[in-house]
Amino acid sequence: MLQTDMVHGSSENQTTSTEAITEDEILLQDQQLKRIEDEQKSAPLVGDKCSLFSLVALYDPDTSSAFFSKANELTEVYSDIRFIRGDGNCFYRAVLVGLVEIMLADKEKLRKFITSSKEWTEKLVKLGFPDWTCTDFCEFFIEFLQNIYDGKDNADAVFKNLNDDNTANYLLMFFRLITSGHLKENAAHYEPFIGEGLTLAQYCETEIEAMWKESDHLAIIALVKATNIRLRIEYMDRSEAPNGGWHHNLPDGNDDASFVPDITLLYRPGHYDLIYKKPAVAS
Amino acid sequence: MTTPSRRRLMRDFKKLQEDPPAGVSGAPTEDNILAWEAIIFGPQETPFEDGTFKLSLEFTEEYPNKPPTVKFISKMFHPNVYADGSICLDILQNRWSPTYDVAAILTSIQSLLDEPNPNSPANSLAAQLYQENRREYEKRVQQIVEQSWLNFGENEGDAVLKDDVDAEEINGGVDGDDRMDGASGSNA
Repeated sequence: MLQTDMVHGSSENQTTSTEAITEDEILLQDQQLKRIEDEQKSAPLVGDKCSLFSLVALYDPDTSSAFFSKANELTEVYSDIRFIRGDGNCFYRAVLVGLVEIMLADKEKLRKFITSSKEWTEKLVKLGFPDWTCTDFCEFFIEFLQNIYDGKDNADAVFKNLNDDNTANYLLMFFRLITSGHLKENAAHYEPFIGEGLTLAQYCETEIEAMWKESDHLAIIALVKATNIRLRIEYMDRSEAPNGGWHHNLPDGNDDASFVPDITLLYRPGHYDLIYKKPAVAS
Repeated sequence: MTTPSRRRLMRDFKKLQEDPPAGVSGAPTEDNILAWEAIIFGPQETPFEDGTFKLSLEFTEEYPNKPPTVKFISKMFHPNVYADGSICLDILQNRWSPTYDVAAILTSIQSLLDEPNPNSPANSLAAQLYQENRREYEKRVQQIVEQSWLNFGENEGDAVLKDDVDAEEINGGVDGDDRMDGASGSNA
């Protein structure tokens, strides 16, 4: 799954950078992309919650000893994992699923999120997003939440939607739009972090608003701010964590002592899954 | 709940009817919301002026997360249009955004007509003439403009004939006026 994620990314880059490729090459590329896509689609978009030991089982104690021992270590704090499909959308999807789970359990949070989603609809239009098409994503998302609120959709129906490619990706687009919206709204703050001669608007268009494009650190910060969640990311590989530790709390500047995350993600190189803490044991 | 793609296509259609952009029109075919036909009028004061070009748009259930497949049905002579009518346009490939709708697609194709990108030629002859012999290029464009009137209305369901033309063009290349004229003659 991890590998396909990376292959997908690199072939995408190839398509954008090559000029004057022949029709045969395009055909071959299309076939390769199709094969990768089929491979990705063999995994569910959102897996069932399962024991974190299924993560441990993915690693061989001899050949992947570092990941094996880290996975074991995580089982001391976390009990469950929900695998998310590695299709370039995994970060957005993991946060979407995590948030929906919170809202299924807490009607007040659901009500607040419906309100803020409506505010986002107006804000996106003000920020210059194409009115017609953006509003449709917003309305679809709000309708999805409203159906939960009104009791029309129970958890089963919700997860069925989250696992239906077309419905789920339409919902996910709302998250990409508000991520982009947050960056554009605070352009002066984020502009210096955008490299390679891109403008913030170009970056948003090609990296954030385009489906199946992997999220980078900027996208992560922006979605966290746009959804107003507290997020912890646990790293399988310590060198990948921005602070050199094993995990990272967002928004930045939150120390471990006081930080209670709403959602926790596990980062393995190139991929995010949802993980769940063990229930607190009364001492 | 109808699927997001169908719902969105209905909205796209409604918008095209209520607020149609200049010089383009489009509608789903009678029995299939995922298959559209569109017409682009050649922009004024360009060699394509007065042309009425027919296109087909094939959507999947993944629209608008994935772009539709768009092809010219009318014969086209343009650096970025392949012999089979497929269009080489970044927003229909790697720069697609789900925030684009049918109106945006059609107006982008309309502007592509007069603003070709000779760096990614789909029709190398058209690209070469566009850069080196603009007179000849415009002459060729004039031919397909005139052909677009003939195709229009009369050629309904005449796909077989059109396929013959395309096949001939692919096999024989487009290196001679005679061949081109012969092909258009048989089409009319």
